[in-house]
Amino acid sequence: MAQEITSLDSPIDAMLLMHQAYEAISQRVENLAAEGQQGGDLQAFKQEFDAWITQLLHHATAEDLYMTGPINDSQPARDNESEHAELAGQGTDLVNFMVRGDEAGLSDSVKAAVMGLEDAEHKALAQDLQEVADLLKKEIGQDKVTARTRRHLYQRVMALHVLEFDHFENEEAFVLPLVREGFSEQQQLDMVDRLLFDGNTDNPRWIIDWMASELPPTQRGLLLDLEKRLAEVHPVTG
Amino acid sequence: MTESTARACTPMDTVLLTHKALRSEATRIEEIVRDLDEGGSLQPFNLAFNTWATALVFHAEQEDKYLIDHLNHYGEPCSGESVSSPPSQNGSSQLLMEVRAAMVAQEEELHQKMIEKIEEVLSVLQEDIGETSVIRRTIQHLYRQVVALRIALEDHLDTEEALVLPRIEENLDEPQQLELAENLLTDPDSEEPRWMIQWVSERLGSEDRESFDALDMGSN
Repeated sequence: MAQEITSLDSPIDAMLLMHQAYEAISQRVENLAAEGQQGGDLQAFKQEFDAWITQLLHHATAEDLYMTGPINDSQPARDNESEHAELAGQGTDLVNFMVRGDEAGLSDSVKAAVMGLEDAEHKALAQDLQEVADLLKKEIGQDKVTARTRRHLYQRVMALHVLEFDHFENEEAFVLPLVREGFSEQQQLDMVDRLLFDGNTDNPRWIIDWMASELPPTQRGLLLDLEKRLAEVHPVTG
Repeated sequence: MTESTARACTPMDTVLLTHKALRSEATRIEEIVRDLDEGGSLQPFNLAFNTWATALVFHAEQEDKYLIDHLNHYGEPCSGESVSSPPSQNGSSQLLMEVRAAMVAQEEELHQKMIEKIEEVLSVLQEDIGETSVIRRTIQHLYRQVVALRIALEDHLDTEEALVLPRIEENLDEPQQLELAENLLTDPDSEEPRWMIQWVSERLGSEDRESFDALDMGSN
C-alpha cells in the first residue's frame, strides 16, 4: 500500500486503488477530528465522515459477497470477512457515538463510574444516569464536557483508521494473491465490476466516481483505463 | 544575580501547573510519533516517551498515596450544599454526591489504566528493539496507544480539577496544602528528590515557570 501504484497487473489490483482512495479520505477525516479537539464547528468533519463511513460499510459488504464469498475453504478469506465485521462494528459504534452529541464523552465516564459501584447502588443510580450527567455537566462546565467528547471522538476515528489500514494491508498480503491465482481475468473483471459499481441504486457510479475524486492523476488514469475495459465486457454498468 | 520578582503560585496552583506540564508533554510526544518517518529510527520517541512515562507513573503513585484520604472524604457535601436546597433538589444533590464520589473513586482505576497503557507502549518498543527501521504499521499502533494514553490522562486530570481540587482547597489550610503539594512533587526515595519539580518546571512557559519556581518546595 505504501508503494506508488503505476500499473494494474490484474483486474483485482483495482483494490489497491480502492485502498489508496480510502487512505486519502480516512486521513482527511482523522485530521478534521484532530482539529475538532480545539473546538469549533464539526460540519466539515461530519460531511467527510459520512462519505467515508457510507463507502466503508458498503465496501465491506460488497467484498464479502463478491470477492471473498466465492473463495471456498480459505482461512485468509474468512479472516478478511471477520475484519470487515470488526470494521463495520467500530464504524457503527462511531456513528452512534456522534448521534449522542456533546455529552457523549461525559455520559460514558459516568456510566463507567456507576458500573463500578456495588450492585444495589449501581441499580439505583443507573435509572437516573441522564439526570446525573446533567448535574455533572453543570459542575464540570460545558466547555470541558464538549472537549472530553471531542477527544473521545478523535480517539475513535483514529482507531478506526488504524484498523482500516491493518485490514487493507492484510488483504493485500493474504487475499488479493488468492484472487489473482484462483480466478481468471474474466472472473476478476466480473468481480471488480461489482465492487466498483452499485447496480442496486439509481446512481450505479457512486463508488467509482468517489474513488476517482480521491486519486491523484496517475492512479485516476489507471482507473479510467480499467473502466474502459469493464465497459467492453459490461456495457450496462460500466 | 537578579532576584526574581515573580509572585509565587499557591500550592494548589502547583498541582494545576503540574497538570499543564503533563498535558503539554503528552501533546509533544503525540507529535513526535506522528512525525516518525517510515524506515527511520524509534530512538527519539523512545527517549521522550520514557521520560514522560516516568513522570506519569510518579504522578499516579503520589496521588494514590497522598490524595486517597481526600478522595475518601469526597462524598461529603461542600459547605452550604444541600442545606439550603429546596426539598425537591435534595434527591438530586444526594445523587450527584454519590456519582461524584464514584467518579473520584474511579480515579485510582484510571491511574492503573494509564500505567497499563504505558506498559502497552513499552511492549511495542520492546518488540521493536533490534529493528533497524520502523514500519508504518508500528508507527500507527504506537500513535494509537499514545493518543489513548493522552486522552486517559486528560480525562483523569479534568475530573480531578473539577471534582477533587476545589474540595481540597476548601478543606485544607495553606500549610496543609503546601505539605500536600510537596508530597505530590518530591521523591524522597530518589537521590535527587526534586527531580519532578525540575521536570515540571522545564516544561512550563516562562511566566508559569517563574511563579512555579518561586514557591519553595522540597528544599528541606
